[in-house]
Amino acid sequence: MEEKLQVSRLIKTYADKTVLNGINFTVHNGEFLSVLGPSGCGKTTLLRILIGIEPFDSGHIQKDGEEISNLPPNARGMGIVFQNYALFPNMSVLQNVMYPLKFQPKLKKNAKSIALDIIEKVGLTEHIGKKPNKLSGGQQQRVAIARTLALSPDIVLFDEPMSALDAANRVALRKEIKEIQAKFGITMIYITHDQEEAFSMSDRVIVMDEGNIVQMDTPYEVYHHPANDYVEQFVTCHLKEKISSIQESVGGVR
Amino acid sequence: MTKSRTLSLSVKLVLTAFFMVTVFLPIISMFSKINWATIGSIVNTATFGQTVFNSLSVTICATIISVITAYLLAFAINHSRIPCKGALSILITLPMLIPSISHGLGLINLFGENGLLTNLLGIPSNLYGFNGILIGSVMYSFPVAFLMLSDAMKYADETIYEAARVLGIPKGSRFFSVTLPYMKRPLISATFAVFTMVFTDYGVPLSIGGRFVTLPVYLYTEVIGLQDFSRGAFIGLLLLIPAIITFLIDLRKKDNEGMGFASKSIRIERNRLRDILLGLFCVLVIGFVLLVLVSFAIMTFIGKYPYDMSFTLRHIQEVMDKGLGEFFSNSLLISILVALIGTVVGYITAYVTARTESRVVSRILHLTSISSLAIPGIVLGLGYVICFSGSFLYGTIFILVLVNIIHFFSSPYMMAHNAMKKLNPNFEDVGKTLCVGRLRLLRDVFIPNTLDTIAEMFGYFFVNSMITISAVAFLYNTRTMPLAILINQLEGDMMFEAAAFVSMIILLSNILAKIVIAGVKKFCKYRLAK
Amino acid sequence: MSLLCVVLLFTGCGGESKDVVIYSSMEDYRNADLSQKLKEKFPDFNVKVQQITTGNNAAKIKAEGANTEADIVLALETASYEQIAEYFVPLEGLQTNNYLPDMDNADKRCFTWEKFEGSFIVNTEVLKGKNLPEPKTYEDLLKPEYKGMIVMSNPKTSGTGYMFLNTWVNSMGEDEAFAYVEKLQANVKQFTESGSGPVKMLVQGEAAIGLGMVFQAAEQINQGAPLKVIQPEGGAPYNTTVFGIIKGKETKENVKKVFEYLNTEYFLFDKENYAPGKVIENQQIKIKNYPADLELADMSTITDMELKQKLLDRWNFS
Repeated sequence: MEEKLQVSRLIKTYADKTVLNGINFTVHNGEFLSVLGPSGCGKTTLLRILIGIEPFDSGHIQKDGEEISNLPPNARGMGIVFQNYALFPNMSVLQNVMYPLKFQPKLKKNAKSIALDIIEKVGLTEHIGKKPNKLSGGQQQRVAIARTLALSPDIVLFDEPMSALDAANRVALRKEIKEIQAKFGITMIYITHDQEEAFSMSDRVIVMDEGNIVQMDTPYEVYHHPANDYVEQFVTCHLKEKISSIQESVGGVR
Repeated sequence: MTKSRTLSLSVKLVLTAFFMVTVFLPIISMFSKINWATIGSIVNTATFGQTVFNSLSVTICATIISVITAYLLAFAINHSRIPCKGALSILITLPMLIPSISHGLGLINLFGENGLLTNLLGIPSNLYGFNGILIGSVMYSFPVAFLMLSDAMKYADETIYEAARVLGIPKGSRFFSVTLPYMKRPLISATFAVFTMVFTDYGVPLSIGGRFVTLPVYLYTEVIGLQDFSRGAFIGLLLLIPAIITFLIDLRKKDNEGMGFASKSIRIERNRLRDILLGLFCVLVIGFVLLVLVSFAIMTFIGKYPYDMSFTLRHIQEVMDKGLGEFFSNSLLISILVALIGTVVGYITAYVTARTESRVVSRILHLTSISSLAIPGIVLGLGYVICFSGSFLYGTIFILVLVNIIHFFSSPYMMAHNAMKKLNPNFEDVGKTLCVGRLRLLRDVFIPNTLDTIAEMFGYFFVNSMITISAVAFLYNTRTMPLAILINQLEGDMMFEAAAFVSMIILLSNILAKIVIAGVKKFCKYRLAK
Repeated sequence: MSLLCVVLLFTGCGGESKDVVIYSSMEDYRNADLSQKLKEKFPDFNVKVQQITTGNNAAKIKAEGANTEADIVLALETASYEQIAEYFVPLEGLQTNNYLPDMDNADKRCFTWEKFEGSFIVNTEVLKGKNLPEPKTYEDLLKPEYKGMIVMSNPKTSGTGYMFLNTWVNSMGEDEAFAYVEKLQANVKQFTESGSGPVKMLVQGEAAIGLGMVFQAAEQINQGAPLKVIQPEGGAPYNTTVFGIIKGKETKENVKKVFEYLNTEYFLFDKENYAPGKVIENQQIKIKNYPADLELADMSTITDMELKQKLLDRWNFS
């Protein structure tokens, strides 16, 4: 497995607070990597830095061996799907997906056919004329993914894309995202605070806490061999803590 | 700094400089005009004290009545089961389509010594003076308060009332413990807004005040009439005070409250008695408003009430001879230019403050662009005449356009600002990652999704430019005179029938404009939903 | 878009050559008639008759100075004219009408336009309806039963109003005159801005007694209004107005032509039909119901500008 993405000594501070404390990690080509952590741990910032819409203080980001940290967002070959999808409400599915193509001189001519192809691959062909407000949450998410794929990125970043959906939907969509990954052969970096989600989808998981990577390993390893208490509590939904506090209030044996 | 950042920063600085020059500079030059040595002699006279007292007394009374009326109407629309709420809401806002001076004239038509109703009902006419100003000011201001209160009531949350019911709080107490606290802020805002509106208006007291002189009338006669800018500027200073207080209170309120997310819309219980009473009240108020508006039509077409009751087009002819066509086209031109340029500038400013980084500069620009709300129209106009009289702008139609844009800027700007804030915050990021520039996003995403806001902005600028007599009163000349000012002149010459006709023209133009805007909004909604 | 604005900007301040702007302090019906006649006489010119009361007229020109948009000033009260005489151009070489000796101005920067008399004007119907007697003297006006029934124009803005103030000052002395007004104002319903206001309000039935212009009353009587002219004890006050050209504007052809028309044809027409106060020899009076036997009051100080300013500064009623 080649190194698709290499992040070294990434530091970001904001208003006297260290958001990212010298992060290091690599991403393998074609893998599904989740970044797991509570809100405020820096994962969203990390994502935004990776795609290039957030400045950082120091460090390196290399893709396919080349430094990309000074490239603008649209030149990094990466795409991003935001939490609330940010679909253009006034455009149909087809128009949304075609939109970025219209600005690429080489792709302008075939914009429609490229878009239709992607839409078919994500399974939304019968909805191409509909506006986002007529689609379900899951369908909207697929449009957002399709739009991102229009420019053929080889890495797609996801910023908690399921947080707006209910549990039943989420499980179905996890499968779909993995299918899309397989179809398009892309590397995916996926941010979530939901450990079940991260564990069920990922090849590897990064657990973050207050700007640091606490552990990075396969889901199995993280679950069975947590690096420290923090990780253990996090991945078990603080189960031990809850049990002991219940025992305490009920007056049971400690 | 990236290219786009420098661009947005420079746009912001240019806009801020623009507002500094068009809002603050005139006010400062106005103050510099005050000859403080002579002011002492003015303030010490008995009439000055009387004038201040007059202003305060009639404004306070009018504010109380106006806000209560507006509250009852808003309550009727939002919390009762009366029919035709949509139509009623529109009728309630009709008074906003005519100049303030027309309200006074309408009342004279009905209740003057020789008024239509005075003669019909045989009642004594006590109109001129305090009473007339009171009624006229209430009519002029209650629709504004109504809109503010109704807007707040719309977003009230049913779940709080459910909780109150479950907790056994009796209905009467519910009003005091649930409704009133929720409405506290909107009520305060509305009260101060109405107070400032009435306190700084000269149209109603000029037409119907008789011997009862208020501060704005004093300013008007001293400045417009006798060109005494020092005195006028001093009065302008006094008139600024309530306006600034209102502005500051509003500012604090905006900071403190978030967007009211309606979790559940109000469920309205059945209550026949309440509906009948409220319905009656609505009918009375609207009936009164319609009566005044209809009086314009009657006065226009009747020879000389009550001596000559024949139908005539004579008054229309009088006005045509005076140059109605030209003044009307002046007004249309001004209003359309104001609407076009104002909407564009407002939209761009809102985009820049709502959707770009660098908080500090954005905040300054935001404050500067809404600050014109703190300046009453006549004060702004006075500042302009003092500050810009030597410039190339003076005497052209363009200075009228400019002063109106600045005068009416804050509301449309806030409309655009709020609409922009409501849109998905990630659009710019999407643009960055998909290689779509800001300008294209503006064109392809922002504008199409805010079309009804844009239409609303346009309508606001247009209607208000058609009816304004405040800022423009000092800046027009024979060639650029807008139609509303013609009413001033006709009133001064006691040509009441002609004034009625002109008021009617303005009313009809504005109704037409509103219908067109509503049509555009409906069309946009339809397009978006398809 | 911006091009449109630029074009409009210029149309807003352009069109110089065709426009003639007259600041006229005549009453609205006379201005309407003049407008009409000017349109017929000079269809190619765009003559604007801007109606403006005497006080405001002078104030505006004073404030605007040399850049004023006015080309011709018409029917400006003589004392007010003194305030802004410097802005007028000497009317040398222009034919003058045959003025009566005391109507001929030594200052050649303006010509006399009219002389108008004022008087008590009453609405007989309103008086009858309220069972009130007709007033005969200024003292009578102070009677409590006239409360709210009297209308007068404001001397600050109107020449008509000022002439009444002036006649009181002439007959009583300044302090007494102001003491009188202090008492009178309790009965005054309104101090109108324009001189034509009092008669208008009488016609509307909004007041019973007005201190107004005789010729305006005659005009209304001829149209059927129930008005009556009552000469106050001491004689009818009168005032004069002038007309002239603003310095610098006399080079414009249209302005010269319009002024010539005002000075000749329209001058005579106006005196015959609207302003019958005698200013020229052999003046015809065509207006019906104009009292032929008006005695005139002492108006010796009526053209004194300094006195006028002093009195107006002291005037605090509105």
